[in-house]
Amino acid sequence: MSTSTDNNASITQESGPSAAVQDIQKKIVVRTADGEVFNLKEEVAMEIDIIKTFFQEDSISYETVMPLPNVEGWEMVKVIEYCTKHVELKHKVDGYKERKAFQALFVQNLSTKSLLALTNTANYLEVKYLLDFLCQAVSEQIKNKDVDYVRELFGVENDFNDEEYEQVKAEAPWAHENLNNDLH
Amino acid sequence: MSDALCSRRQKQVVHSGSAPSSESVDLDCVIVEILSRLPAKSLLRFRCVCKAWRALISDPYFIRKHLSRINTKSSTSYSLLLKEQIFRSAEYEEILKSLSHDGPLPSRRLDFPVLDRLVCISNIRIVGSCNGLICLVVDINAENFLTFMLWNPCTGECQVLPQPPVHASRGRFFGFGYDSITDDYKVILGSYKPGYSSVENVEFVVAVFMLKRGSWRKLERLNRYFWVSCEGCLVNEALHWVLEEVEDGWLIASKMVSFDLAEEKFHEIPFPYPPNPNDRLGFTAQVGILNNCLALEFMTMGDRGGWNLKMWVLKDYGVKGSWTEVTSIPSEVVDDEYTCMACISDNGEILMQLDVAGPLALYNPKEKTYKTLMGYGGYWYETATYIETLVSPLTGSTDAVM
Repeated sequence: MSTSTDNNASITQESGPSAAVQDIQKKIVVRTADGEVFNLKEEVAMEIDIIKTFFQEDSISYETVMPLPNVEGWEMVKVIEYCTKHVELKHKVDGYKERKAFQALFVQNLSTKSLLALTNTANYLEVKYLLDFLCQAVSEQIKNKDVDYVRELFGVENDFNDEEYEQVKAEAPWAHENLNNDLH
Repeated sequence: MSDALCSRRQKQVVHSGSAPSSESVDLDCVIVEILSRLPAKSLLRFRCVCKAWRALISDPYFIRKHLSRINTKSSTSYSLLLKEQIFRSAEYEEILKSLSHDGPLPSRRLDFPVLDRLVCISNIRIVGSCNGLICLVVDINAENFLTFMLWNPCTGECQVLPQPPVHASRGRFFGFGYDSITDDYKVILGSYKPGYSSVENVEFVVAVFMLKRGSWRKLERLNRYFWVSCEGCLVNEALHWVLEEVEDGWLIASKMVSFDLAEEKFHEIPFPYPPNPNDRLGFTAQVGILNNCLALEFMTMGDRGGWNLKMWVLKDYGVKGSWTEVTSIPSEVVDDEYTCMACISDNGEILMQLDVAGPLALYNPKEKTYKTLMGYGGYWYETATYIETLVSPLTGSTDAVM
């Protein structure tokens, strides 16, 4: 079991008077699928349950670089961004407006496909509040889309034959009308 | 991961509302989480995506999950059901938008299943709505038998209920709601034959229909109430009616009667303040729902001969004294008998039906102005507030489906 002075993933390993300063900035290191390496502040890393479990359950030293083979670099950037903000807002009494503004910006330049990929990553990394937010964001983006769009987005094959499809459609024809198929 | 969905993948085409949950499909839990946040219209469309999605969207567990996600505190989750010559539906979101522009209120015509040719829509009354199910009753004055129906205007499914074991005599009252204790939907029918002078030798019968059992039963050992307003208002899993009592030879609205759906017993709720005796002649009261709270409207004679409408809301259902006056509308503003419906915006705008055949309007209590949404068509019409869900009127999409 490493002592706190050794749990420092930065380069210099020193005990003595400067150890106290190093303790405040404990970092956890992860490596994503594309080989990119990220240094996370401990308090942000602990928001990500899969990382928390990895290090805490088996008391693994923070020197270990945790591999995340299912996560792309750009996704990690976004997850860190969201969790960092979440931790910051935890200590604020009235962070509602700020959170809403941040959330709007967060998804602004992401295509729906990217948003979906990020949602799956949030699920894999086990960050519940991020997963909830992203699921809501994806549903907002697809709610007015047609069936073809949704099949393409989720990579789903149509296994209805023409007759079956018409039969299902006829159960609620109004649901297929007045769609707002905006370009995305 | 999703707990109630098992992992057997079924290839059969499943009809909505009848899929037993043991035949539901194992789908990526992220997809389930995303889909459960979609509006009902989108889900009905996405049933066409593939067979697996079709099965999921018809699964009662998913339907209940979807229902639980609907934010009942936000007015934009609701729709307005309009029954005039036909059934129509308007989204509250559209109603609020119409404040800022003129033109007709966008609404969707609803397909209502055709019953007997002899039944025309003016014989159909709205009993109530709950979790996306609308309860209707065919009420023909000459007949003593009432026929109840459950309908989901979103999915189009409909079920005609078996005949109640009660002759609906002169006086009748009814209500519809969901009881979470038994996880079941219930329809209440009360029938009475009162006399003005004495309350003896009069009939008073109450019957309850339970959706899971699919049958009615009469209730025993209940307090007897007469002169109860027709449709019960559902708040907090209890139905509420206004009770009128005979006083000095006149029928005066005196208190509210509530029927707890789980307990199946009546209780009384006193009015917030005793009405001014001078108002007696012109005093009427109606019970309604405002922002999911029990509301009471009093119509009293105004000082200068017109009408005044006062609205009170029971903010905290458990606390008797928590009646709060919400607004008082003088007759200078709206000179008709009003029926309020639901407070629907952050500004506190109130959707109102001005009399049974009057226009539909949005009243702004701060500025004391109102905007007509739908003009006077000359026909008597009814409205109900509901949410769009996939709940089946055949099964209630409840747990132990028989």
